[in-house]
Amino acid sequence: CGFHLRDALKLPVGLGPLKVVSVDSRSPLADTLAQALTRAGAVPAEPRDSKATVLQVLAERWGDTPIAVDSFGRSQEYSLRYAVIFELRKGDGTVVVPKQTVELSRDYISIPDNSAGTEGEREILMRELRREMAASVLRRIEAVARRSGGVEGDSGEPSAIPDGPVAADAAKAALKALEAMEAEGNDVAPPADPEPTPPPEPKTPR
Amino acid sequence: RSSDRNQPMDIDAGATSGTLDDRQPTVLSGGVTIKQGTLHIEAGQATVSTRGGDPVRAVLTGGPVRLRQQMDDGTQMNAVANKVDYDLTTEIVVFTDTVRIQQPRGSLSGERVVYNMRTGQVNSGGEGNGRVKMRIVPRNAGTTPAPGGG
Amino acid sequence: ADDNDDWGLCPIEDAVPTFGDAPDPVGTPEQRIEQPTDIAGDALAGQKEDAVFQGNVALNRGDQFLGTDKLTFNQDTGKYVAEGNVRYQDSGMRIVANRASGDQNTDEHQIEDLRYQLTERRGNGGAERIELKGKQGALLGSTYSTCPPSQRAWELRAHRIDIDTEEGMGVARNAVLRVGKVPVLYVPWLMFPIDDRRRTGLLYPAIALSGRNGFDWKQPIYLNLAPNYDATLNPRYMSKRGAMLGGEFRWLYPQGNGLVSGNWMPDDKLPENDPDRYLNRPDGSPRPGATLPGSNRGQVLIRASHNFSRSWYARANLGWISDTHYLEDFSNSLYGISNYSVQSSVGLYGRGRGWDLGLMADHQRLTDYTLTEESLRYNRLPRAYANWTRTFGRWFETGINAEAVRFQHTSDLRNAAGFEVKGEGSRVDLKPYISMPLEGAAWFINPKLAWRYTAYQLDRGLATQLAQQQAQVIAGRAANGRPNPIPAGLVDSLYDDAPVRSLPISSLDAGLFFDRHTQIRGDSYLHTLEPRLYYLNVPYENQDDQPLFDTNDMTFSWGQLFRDNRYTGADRQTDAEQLTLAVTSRLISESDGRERLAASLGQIHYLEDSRVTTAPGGQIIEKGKSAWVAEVSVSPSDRWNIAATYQWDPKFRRQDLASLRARYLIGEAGVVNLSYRYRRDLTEQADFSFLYPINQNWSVVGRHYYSMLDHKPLETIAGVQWESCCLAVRLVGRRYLRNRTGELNNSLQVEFELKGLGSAGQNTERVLRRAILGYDRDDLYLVPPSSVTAGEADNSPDPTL
Repeated sequence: CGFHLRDALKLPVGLGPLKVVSVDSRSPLADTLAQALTRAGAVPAEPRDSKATVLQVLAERWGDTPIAVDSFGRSQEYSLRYAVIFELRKGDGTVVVPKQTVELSRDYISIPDNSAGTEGEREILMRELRREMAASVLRRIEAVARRSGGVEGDSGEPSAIPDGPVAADAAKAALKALEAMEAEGNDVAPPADPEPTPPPEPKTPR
Repeated sequence: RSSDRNQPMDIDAGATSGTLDDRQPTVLSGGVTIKQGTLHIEAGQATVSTRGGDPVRAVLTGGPVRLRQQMDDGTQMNAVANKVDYDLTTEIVVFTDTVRIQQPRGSLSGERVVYNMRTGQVNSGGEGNGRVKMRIVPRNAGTTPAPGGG
Repeated sequence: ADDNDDWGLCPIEDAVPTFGDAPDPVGTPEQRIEQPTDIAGDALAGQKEDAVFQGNVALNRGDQFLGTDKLTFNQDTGKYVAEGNVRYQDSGMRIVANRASGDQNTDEHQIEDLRYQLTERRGNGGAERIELKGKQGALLGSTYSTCPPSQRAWELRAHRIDIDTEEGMGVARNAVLRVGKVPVLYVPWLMFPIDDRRRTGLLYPAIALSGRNGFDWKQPIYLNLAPNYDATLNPRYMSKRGAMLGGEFRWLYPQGNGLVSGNWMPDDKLPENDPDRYLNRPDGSPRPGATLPGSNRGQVLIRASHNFSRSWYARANLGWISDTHYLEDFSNSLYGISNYSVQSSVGLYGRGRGWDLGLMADHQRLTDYTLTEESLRYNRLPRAYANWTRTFGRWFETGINAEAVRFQHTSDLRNAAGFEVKGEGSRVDLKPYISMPLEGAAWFINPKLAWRYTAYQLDRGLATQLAQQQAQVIAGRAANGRPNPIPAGLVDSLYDDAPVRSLPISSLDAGLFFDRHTQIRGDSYLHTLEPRLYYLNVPYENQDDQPLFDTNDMTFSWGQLFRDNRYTGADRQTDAEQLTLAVTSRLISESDGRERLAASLGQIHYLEDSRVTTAPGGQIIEKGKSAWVAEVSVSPSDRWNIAATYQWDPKFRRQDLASLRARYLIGEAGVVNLSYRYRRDLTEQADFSFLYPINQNWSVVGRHYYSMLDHKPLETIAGVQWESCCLAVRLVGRRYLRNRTGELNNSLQVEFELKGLGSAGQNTERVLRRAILGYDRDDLYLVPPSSVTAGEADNSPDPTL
């Protein structure tokens, strides 16, 4: 039925040295991803190398909300949610894997009058969700790499990474052009703001 | 100064043509300077008409005409225009064509400015003679008037 | 609304259109005095003292511009008079009027019967007279609104409005607020912001009327103490209960941040009005030792974090609530009363590549009167844990998970023998392991051998209690079910205050990856097939002599198929000889890597009985098959998100779990959630919630959260919101479980939001964000999270007061 053993992953050759950058320097996700990508053949880049390909973890969020209450209104089932927004782009800004979101969740029970062990279960679930998140981010990168890297009947030279959705690239190209012009000193007025920017309310940090 | 009127007026020019009698005005050219007391005028060319031997009217043109005079309060007034019509009897000076009058307290510019030296009255613009612009420098902004503007 | 106002619905129309001939205002009011004044006009006449400009006169100085037909100006005194379609503009506002006069030297101006528009902010209106002095301005007999003149939804008329563009505030005195044509509110004094700087001042009052609190006025005051710390005070008055003060202090510094928030109510009259709710149990029987918690009720929450270095940081998360009725008496949402205990924890943590450890302590406090302190979890005072792992050689990985905890319990109830019912003790659990994780592109295999050594030090009461439990099981029960007497000496022989458990855990996790390229409706997908097996072998060791400090059954789920322990903590290590067979299949879009479908099916084959139980004599797991576990998650497009799980137990031919969750995102802001959940003998509930934007102005919200098992709704919400350019009106009716006796409470909340001026009425948005997941897209992870810090699951109680 067409299924075959997965062939070796060839990370696209144009990727070059790669580094993983995370918004939360404390979360282990970035390390796990970096190790997995190195095992898959990526060359780790220097943190300060601005030309390197970047796997950027843009946002990482945990949520632990009660999703079911008993007849007295006491919460008895929780949903532990873990969501990550990531993007893979090359040094020159072209997008390899477009910005996207992965959301995983695990439900667990905690009966109000016998809630011992809830802490332990949540910690186990958090560890499992971290492993599962790293795996699912990698799966997404592999799927894109596989399509572009392993196109059958290719004349040996792996086809260049097709650009991501045109809109994202057009914006990036325009940005690049703007910066280039400013760099040359001619006076380019910043794109006029079509609408008067709405004046926000006083920002009271909650 | 208002006392300038009683001062002798001496005029020298590169070249003069015509006589000093009243029938037709003398034309001075080739760089004319007129001095009378603190009043000091330089122009490319001047046409002076006299009556009874005394100059009654001078029309100065050419290269910007420059006029400098000290006011009664000691402040200096400089004026520049392409054409200046100075009627000595009424002491009314009519500046026309890119006029700029510079005083420590500010500057005035326009296409046509009528300045009555006896009353200090200044009229400008009107009847399609372009915009009048005046710049007043803030009181404590030091001595030299701010350049440009208007 | 706390996030900034959305002016998207406003027509592009200025109350006072920009002046074509005026230069953009540049510079600030302070710089005006040093700037030269330029005057231009068609004609000039006049002495040096009073020059008279005529015809399309324009006066410019710094950011000020004055256009008029005729201007009389005295150079020396700086006084001027402008008559005939006067147009004034500076960095703060634009004005159109008939006559203006003033003094440029002292920067004072008076303008009569004018229309104005603020430029840094959306305010506009008219006035009989305005007196400007530098940055201050006083509008007399004036109106203010953020609505465009063509849709005057609301307007504030005031005898006098002082506007201070430097402070960025407007103060209206004896003002009448009109909504449409109807005067709605008379306010002797009202301050409102005219730009977005943080400044000390009153925020918008929350006014409510409820059966329980009576007239309820909360007036938050914001204190902008310093760039990196600020505070909010919340004085509140409830006519039926008394006055209350809330407050929150937030600080931020390079290494960390934190907040302290609390509420204090010296004397609450609610308990006196309804004493038996506190003194008796729901069934009416008196509650021993119950007192009326009328005085000094309150809540304190401290949350702080400090980073020592990249690897080391400290966290504190402390909570205190005065009495067990507090949550119920002070919250008005289902979410508010769903918590039943408060956990305070403080700890020092470290994390690096391949290791993480922590030294922490946590403490539980009961906040629910239908439970007793015995139902609380054990406090861990302190708990030290460390996990370390390292690869060595080409194939091996070794590591250790270690934990040492001292367990102590809040309840000090004693049993007949005088021993504490919740005995205390400490436990050390070490689990060194070695594994050989081998993997290729299409396969992985990970044999792992671990040794778990767990030792206890128990106090006498607990050890005796455990011995008695075991003895009772051994003595068994008589035919009529009554427990037989325990033979003498049996308890003493079983007594052991330092039980030890030491056993090996061997497991094998292996899997294969098959995939193929496939086309579905024109899109190319990578279709994967991932069979996986997990073998676990752990010898049996009787653990009835061990207490249950922090251990319980794990919720049976997909993850349970691949775990080496059926229990959540170290007090019990399951014995097992089992083999899990499972398969997962995914459809991953090849264009952008998004996973469109993932389906998994798995089951555990118990090759031997699993005899370790939480309570001596408990139900064991017999040889045979576990329940089937099936999970499917589908998101055909970015707007759909569907997840379903199902567990079918073949032995008893019944379903253990059936749950479905579907979410659909409508347009930019709409969302529909549908979820059904059945857990055998526990719950059967359905929850349907939505925020549906009908058009730009109208949107409806709703929720119906029904429990089939209890045959009643737990929360029902119906609401409608009308929003225009400058006015938003929210009407939300709610019926929710108000207290532990199951009574439902109706509440109708009306909120007028005068965009740019403030909102009067209850903050409905916060309640809706809890009830309808996705009501605020921010909660849906699409934008960086705002409420949950990364790294921890934030579950502190949140009574939406």
